[in-house]
Amino acid sequence: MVDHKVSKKICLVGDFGVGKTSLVRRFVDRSFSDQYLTTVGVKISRKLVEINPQSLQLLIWDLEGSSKFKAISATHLQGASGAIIVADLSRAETVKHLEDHIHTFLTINPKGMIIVALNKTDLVTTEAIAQVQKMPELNDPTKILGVYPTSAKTGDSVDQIFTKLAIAIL
Amino acid sequence: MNFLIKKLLEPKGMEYLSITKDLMIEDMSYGVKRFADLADTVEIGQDCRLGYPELIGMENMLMQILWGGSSSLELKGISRTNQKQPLYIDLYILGGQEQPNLINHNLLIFFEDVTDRMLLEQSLAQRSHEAALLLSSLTATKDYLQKIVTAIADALIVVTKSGAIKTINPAAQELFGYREDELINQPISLITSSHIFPDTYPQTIEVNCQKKDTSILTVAFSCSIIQTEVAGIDDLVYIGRDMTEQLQIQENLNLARTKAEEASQTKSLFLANMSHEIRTPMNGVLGLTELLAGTTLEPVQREFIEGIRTSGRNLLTIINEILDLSKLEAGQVQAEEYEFDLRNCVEDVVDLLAPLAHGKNLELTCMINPNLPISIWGDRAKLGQILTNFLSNAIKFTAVGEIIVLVEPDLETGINFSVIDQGIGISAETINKLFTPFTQADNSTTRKYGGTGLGLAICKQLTQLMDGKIGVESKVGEGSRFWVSLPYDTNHADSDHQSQEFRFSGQTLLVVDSHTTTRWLVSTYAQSWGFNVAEASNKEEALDFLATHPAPDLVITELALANIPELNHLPVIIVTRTNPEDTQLAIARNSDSYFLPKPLRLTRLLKSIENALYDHLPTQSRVNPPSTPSPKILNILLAEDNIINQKVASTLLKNLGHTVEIADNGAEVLKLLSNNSYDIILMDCQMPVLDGFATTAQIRQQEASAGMRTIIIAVTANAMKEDKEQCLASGMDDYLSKPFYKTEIEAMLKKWAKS
Repeated sequence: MVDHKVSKKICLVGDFGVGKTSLVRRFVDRSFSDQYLTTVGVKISRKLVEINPQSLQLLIWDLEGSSKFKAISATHLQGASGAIIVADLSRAETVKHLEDHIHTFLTINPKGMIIVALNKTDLVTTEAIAQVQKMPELNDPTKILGVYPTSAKTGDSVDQIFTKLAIAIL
Repeated sequence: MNFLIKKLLEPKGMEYLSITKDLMIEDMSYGVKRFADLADTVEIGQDCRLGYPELIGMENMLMQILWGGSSSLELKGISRTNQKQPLYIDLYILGGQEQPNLINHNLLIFFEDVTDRMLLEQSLAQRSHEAALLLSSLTATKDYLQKIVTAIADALIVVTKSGAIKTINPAAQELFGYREDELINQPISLITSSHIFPDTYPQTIEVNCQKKDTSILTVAFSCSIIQTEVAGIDDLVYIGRDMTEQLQIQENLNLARTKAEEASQTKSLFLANMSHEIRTPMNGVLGLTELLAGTTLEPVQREFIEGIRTSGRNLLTIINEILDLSKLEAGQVQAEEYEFDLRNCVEDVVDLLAPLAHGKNLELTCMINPNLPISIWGDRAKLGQILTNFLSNAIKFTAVGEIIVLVEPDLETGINFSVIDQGIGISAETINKLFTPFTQADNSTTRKYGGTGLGLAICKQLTQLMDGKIGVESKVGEGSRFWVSLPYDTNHADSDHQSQEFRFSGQTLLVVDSHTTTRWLVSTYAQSWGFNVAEASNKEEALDFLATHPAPDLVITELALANIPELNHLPVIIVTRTNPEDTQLAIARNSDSYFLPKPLRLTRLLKSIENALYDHLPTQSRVNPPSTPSPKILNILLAEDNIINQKVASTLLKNLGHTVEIADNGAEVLKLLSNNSYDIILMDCQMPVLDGFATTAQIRQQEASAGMRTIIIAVTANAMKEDKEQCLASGMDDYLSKPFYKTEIEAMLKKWAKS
């Protein structure tokens, strides 16, 4: 047992530029920057989440985004209890890749919990969001806890996705 | 850790940890804390996961290595964010023994600083991702634009300045019947030979285009220039819509409108004919009634005859009004523009209706702002028609009180004409209906006051024709103000006010009249001519003025207040009404005074003042019965085919003392003329054998060689203005419309007898 707290590893997975780092920064540091800074490797942040009566230390692995030339590092996914799979609503191909990321994560962690974050809601219309939410591949309750339109810029639903995942993996 | 490994790791800057199967640190290199997340927790005997959180969750993997399930594990690119400088590390985890054993289990974790490599990788990835994001954004924008072009329902064509087609959307392909590849890079002349390069952009042009199947379309294009950074290579974009069907609809509409207009003209002609057909027998009815009224009758018979006469006249008015309105609505009436005397026009209307007003004991005053020009350009007849309507309504609906006709400048329009009465007034609910045809305030009004309800509708149409405004303000029980504002030019300075101004400067005028409006009217006019004006509303005030002031130069007084002895030695103008009582009183009065009938006309008032002040022979200007010269006996030829009308007219003419011969048609007229001569020919226009126009033309032809000219007066039931013009054009001298009254024909004969 490490420390006196329960610690769990979760990963943020998705294409490059979908806003994974921004979601973590919003959740952990309560801040946001419009400037794009590519993550390489992995950045691990700690955040204590109170889930009455317990508290849980989340070790949040912000993974380098996948691109045409570089896939997600499987080793980094090892041992994760859950994942937030992120897509950028303003880039259709990132939504299309969600299914691949879900599959990759579950292959390595068959019992892992998944939440899908449809990020950057501030850039698109509510009709477009509703359209994506209806996609059948995102509506499999055996794999996915929920699909949430989020905005790291406005903070919409950011705390909810982390908290919901924390409760599920505790 | 043996010395050899330490020696190998040192030059590479690598550090290591040795951990037990419980993940406790059992050995470590000196600098390994540098790579920890929490350096303080890295001590021998401590859990390695406290300082290196990337190991949390990796426990199963570590156990597999420890027990030989797998050989090693690499964790690459772990970023330490707690450092001042960026730090990236790679972790290599291996089993500590060649053969796993139960006694001496341990794991070795090697740490390597890969910051330089990772920073380079970051910089490369950053650039590559930014470029990819930009491309993605551009692609999305381009896709969206392409979708717009494709989805656009109108035909879109992009053409280079030299006329080559660069882009064409599906709507354009469908419109012209070509495939995309058949048009791209082809000259625009393939679809239109018209000039489609306007001088200025954006511009809308309508051109004929040819489809692939050679059929012709009319397309309306809006064309604009696509501005680019490089000058001179701007393309042109055309968005076109097929107008062929719309043009066809427009053409059909025009056709329908023409037909409707023709139908309307036919209707109007029908009405005019109807009116003519009705007028002819009406002439008989009214004429014979008039003749009958002139015979000896029992009182009851006379009453009935009066009834017939009144009803007949009312019927004639209704026919005239319906004809007027139908012509106005058919757009057959035009507003004319000619110079006329504003004062004469208004005062003539007031004069004409004054006997009616005075007969009801109503005061009638007409005030024309002296600053208005006398001469106006416009349609006098139509203005007169509107004012006559207003004024006769005012008289009709006023039982007690006064009526004022007010003509004033209207800053917005030109000149405003108001008729203000103290009549029954109109309620707010019915006031809006007033100007629509066949509408009176309510049915009880129609019953009590009569009329067709067409008068104001006609006035409205006439006003619109003259670009004016018409309206009414009214209060039930208090009276109404009907007004019309017409766009007359009031700026030309022909007002004779300037020439009259100050001509009576320094002279005093005393106005004695119980009627406030009359005093105001006389004062206003007189002051504009330079008089000092004093007013007295009764005898006492007049006497008081005379006792306290020097004698005035002139007194204008109403008849009832004229018998003040103190006035006897002064020049006096007595204002009378046109009712029989006043006239009798005026005639009975033996004085040196001048008489001026109400309503007061500006020019008449001025003339009377001049006479009263300067005439040294006052007896000449007393009211004398007019000397009527005995009328000249005329030899008249009556051309008329209707027997009843022959009888009416000939009896009338004979009663007036003239001799009459009758011709049934034009040919008979010519025959009679060959043996006789006549002072005047009364010529019906529509007669069998030879009509009035042709007959007149022949007479004029014959007379031209003989060097003489017989007066020919047209008598016709056609009441339109064009008919009158036709009569005069065919050589007739004047025009009398049927049915005519004794007074009208008498006046007409008098007029021409002089010549």
